[in-house]
This record gives sequence, structure tokens and C-alpha cells, in this order.
Amino acid sequence: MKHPVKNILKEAGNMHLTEHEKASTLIMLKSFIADHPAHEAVRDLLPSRHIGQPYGVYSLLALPAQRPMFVTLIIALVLASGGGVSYAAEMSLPGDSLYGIKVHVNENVKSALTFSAHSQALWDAQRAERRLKEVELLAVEDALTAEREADLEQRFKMRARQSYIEAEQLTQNKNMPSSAMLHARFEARLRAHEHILTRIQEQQNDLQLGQRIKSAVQTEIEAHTTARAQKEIQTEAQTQIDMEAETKKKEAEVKNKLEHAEESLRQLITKESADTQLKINLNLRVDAAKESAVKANEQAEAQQHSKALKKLQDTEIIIEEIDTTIKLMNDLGFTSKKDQKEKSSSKTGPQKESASTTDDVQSNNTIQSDMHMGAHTQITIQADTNVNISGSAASADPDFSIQQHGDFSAKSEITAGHNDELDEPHPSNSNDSPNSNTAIEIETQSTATMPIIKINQQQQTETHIQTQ
Amino acid sequence: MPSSLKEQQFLNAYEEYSDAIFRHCVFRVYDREKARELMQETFTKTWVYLIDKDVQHLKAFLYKTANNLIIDYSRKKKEESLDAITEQGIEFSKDDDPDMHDIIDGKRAIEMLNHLEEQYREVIVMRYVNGLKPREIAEILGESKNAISVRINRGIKKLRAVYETPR
Repeated sequence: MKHPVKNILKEAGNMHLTEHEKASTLIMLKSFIADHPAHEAVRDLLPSRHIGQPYGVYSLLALPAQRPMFVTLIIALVLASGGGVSYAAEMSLPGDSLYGIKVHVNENVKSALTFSAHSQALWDAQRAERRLKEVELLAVEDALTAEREADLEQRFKMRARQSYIEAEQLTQNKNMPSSAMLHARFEARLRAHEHILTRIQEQQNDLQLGQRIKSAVQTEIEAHTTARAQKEIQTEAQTQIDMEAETKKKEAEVKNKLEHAEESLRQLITKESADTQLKINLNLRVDAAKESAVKANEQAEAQQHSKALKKLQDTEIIIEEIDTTIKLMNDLGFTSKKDQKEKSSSKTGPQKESASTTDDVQSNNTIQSDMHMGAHTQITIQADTNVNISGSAASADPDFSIQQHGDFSAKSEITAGHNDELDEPHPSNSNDSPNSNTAIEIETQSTATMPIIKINQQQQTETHIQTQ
Repeated sequence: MPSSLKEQQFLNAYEEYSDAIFRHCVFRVYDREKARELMQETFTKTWVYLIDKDVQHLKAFLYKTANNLIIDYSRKKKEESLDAITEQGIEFSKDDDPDMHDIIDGKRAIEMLNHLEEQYREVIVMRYVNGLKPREIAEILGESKNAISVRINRGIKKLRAVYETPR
């Protein structure tokens, strides 16, 4: 430095915000944001408004060098339509002519305009998810060829890896809490997709359907779980700042989200056509979330704030999983829509109750019939009452062993009786014998605990709702 | 967990810039508590703007907002006498004792800054306390890069004059 004046000023610049001050303002800001939410764009469309340039310019920049004639035509279309074509392209799947626009144009434009590492990570994860959704949609429509699956699998892996790396790199910018959050979030969403994929496999009675992608998803989930665990260790070693207030805030937040999720689930349940299997699963996840929240509350009371915060984060993950599953169910039209044939309806008398029972059975039957490609209403059961539980540590039933976020699914089947009894009005069925329950093949998926008894009750609850 | 992209970006900006904005405020209003308030207000105002608009360069926007808030505040507190500053606990001592040099320099700097006019103080703080480049300062204040450089140099000269004034 030439003259001492500048030096002096630099020295003087030692007034800094303390960690405490920084954190407490942050808390205040977060609550402010919660009270004044931003208006998001309707879809993750072309953010051309950011730049103030017509979309056309960017489409040209983003396209690969060689383009066959008809792609040029499409570009012209897009320009002419003022973005309408690209909007339509959003829904396209591999095989559709507009799919090229969706992937190469829309997504690249958005990439080009995303700035911070953080948003980039989020966007890449979103792109990965889009590929998953495409697989799911194709599979549900029975149009998933090996070729397409391979292609989508590759793209998914690429994007998923990308987002993972970007989430990791946030560490280097001293944004460790955000990094762990990102990992957690990706993990949650991937799990939801895992459920859906599994379910599709069952429905289509083809365990190979999308299996490669599902494995890829599972690998990613594991990677994120590990990374998050690491980050959490590191974060915990850092300062404890006003944890109590933070915990209280978080608890309120989580409570809110949980209520919201429960409400969505309630709405979903009233839709009779919604897939029963998933509904059951969701109910259990809600219970898991509640238990987790209770545990967090206990820890907070015991002044174990960092533990409580982590527990709350776990709860949030479960809730996000629930929300995403519900959303996917709605988006994919995930109902037992296939073959609502009147197979068993003939057995339905005018009695409301038995009708409802049959409905329940019917929806389950529908699943069955998909699997057996027949039209019968029999439920095959074996007297196997062993239950394998894998599941989240949260919903612990002390009678059953618990494993960590499991990655295996097991089948547990329950004794049940003959069909004839299904015709009888439900109440008389309820407590007579093990035969009386409209038991179904139950699969324990990787995040559900399924004690037998609980399931039976679940059944009845479900049926009751339908009766109303 | 924050759900929207905007929210994420905003909170990241807070992580990155809250301290810098705070320091900027401190060196303009000479009141730590007030500086904290102003920093907080800078961010809340920015968020309100972000609710239905987008911002290209968040960093510049934050500094602009902070600047405006500081100016508004200074207008209210028109007379910023040295007495007032002393009351807030910043004391000035004669720098006879060479061992006291470091402590004094900091306070000296503040005192000296106070002798400057607002326009010079503005750019000096941004340049040497916040470490902003002249280009960035120009964008924040909406002036040309040259004008800024010139002003910085003049400000330094004036400071030097104050510094070298025998006490």
C-alpha cells in the first residue's frame, strides 16, 4: 500500500457480525419469508423474462450444431408461436415429436440461465426427475421399450450424478447446511420415485420393468444418504447458536407441513379410485412422520436441540416423500384405472356395506387381476405369517425388528378366507375369525413397517371410510 | 425447508453478503445496533421486491438498497456531531503513544472518515471496507466507473490531509 491511510482503513474493517447476530437475523428473515411467500412462475418454463430477450435467440444458442431439416422447422414453429410450442413440449415423452424440444431446447435454455451453484444443483436434480417421470409415464402406458429405458436410464444417471456433485460442492463454499439440505431433499424425492416404480412393477406384473432405472435410483438414494450423514457430522461440530428458538420455529413449520400433508392424504383417500396399496403406504408414512415429530419434541424438551433439529429434518423428509408421492399419484393418474370391469360387481347386492367392502376388494382385485390376467375374485393366500420389516426407524413398533432405511421389500401374506364371505355385510365379518378379513397380498416396501395386526385394522378403517 | 428457487438464492445471498452489508452500514452510521437494523431491513426490503419481481445482480441490489436506507437515516440524523459519536462509546485519543498505535488507528480511521463529506465516505467505505471494485461501486451508485475512481482518489487525498494534520 502506498500510503498508510488505506492500511488503516483495512485494519479498521474488523467490525464483523457475530455468528449469533447473523443467525438470529436469519431466523427472523426466514419467518418473514414464510409470511410473504414469493409468487413462483407457473411452470419451470423459459425464463426469457429474466433476460428480456425473445426466447428465439436462446433457442438458437442452445441447440446442437447439426440439425436435420425438420428440427429447423420446429425452431421456426417455436419462434412463430411465441413459446407456445415449447410449452406444449413440456408434457412430451420419448417418442413424441416434441420431445426433442423438451430436452434440448427448454431444458438447455433453463440451464443456461441458472446462476448460482445451488440453483444449478436443484435444476439438475429436477432434470433427473423428469427422466424418471418419463419412465413412469411410459411404463404405465405400457410403452416402455428397452431402447427407451436404456436411453432414459443414461440421461437420468448423468443428471443425477451432476446434481450430486453440485450438492457436494456446496461444501466448499461454506454452505454446509444447504448442502445437507439438498442431499436430504434429493433423497426424499428419489424415494418417492422408488415407491412409484416398485408399484408400477407390481401392477404390470413385471419385476423387470424399469428395474435398471430403479436400481440406479436406489444407488443415488444411498449416495445422498451417506453424504448427508457426513455433512451432519460436520455441521454438528459447529456452533450452537440460539438453538432453542430455531427448534421452536422449526417445530411450528413441521407441524404445519404435517397438517397440510394429512389434509392432502385425506382428500386422496376420498377418491375411491386411487390406488389402495399406495394409500396404505402413505397412511403408514404419515404415522411415521407423526412419531418422528413427537420424538423431536421430546428431545427439544430435554434440551437436546441439535438432535431435535435433526429429527425435525428427518420428519420433513418423510413429509416431502408423502407430498411427492401424492403428487405423482395425481399426475400419473395413478388409480386402479385399469380394468374397472364389473367382475365382482355382480356379487354386490343393494347393501351399501357389502358394496363398499366389495369396492375395497374390487380395487384390490383389480390389482390382482392385473397380475393374474384373469377375471376371478379369488384371493390367494398362504398361511405364512412371517413378516419382514424394513423401515424407517421412526415408526418403531417394539414387537418387530427395525432396520435402517431399508432397501429390500418383502412379501408377507396373511391368512384369509374364502370369497363367499365377502358378500356378507361387513360388520358381521369383522371379528369372527381370521377368515373374515378381506386380506390381500401385502408387500412391505422399503419404508413401511407392516405389523400384521395393524394391517387388519387398517383394512377396516379403509372400508369404513368407503362406506361413508 | 425452503422450497422455491428464489428463496434459496435469497438465503444464499444472505449467507454471503450479510456481513459485508453490515460492515458497510457500520462505517456509515457509526452505530453498531443501528447498523444491524439497517442490514436486516436491507434484506427484508429486498425480499419484498423479490416477491413478484426478479433481480439480476443480487449483490448490487443489496448494496443499493442499503445505501438508500443509510441516506434516509442520515437525513433524519442530520447533525452528526462528534459529541454524539463519542457518547456512543467511540473515543478519540491523541496518538502520542506509539504502543497504542493499532487501537488508535481503528478509531482514528472512523474519526477521519467522519471528516469527509458523505459522497467521499460512501465510496471510500465501499472500496476499502467492503472491498468492492470501482466497477461494482459504479453499478451500485449508478455512475460511471471514471467518476467513481476520481472520487475515490480525491477522498483518499482528503483523508491523507486529515491524517497528516498535526494534532
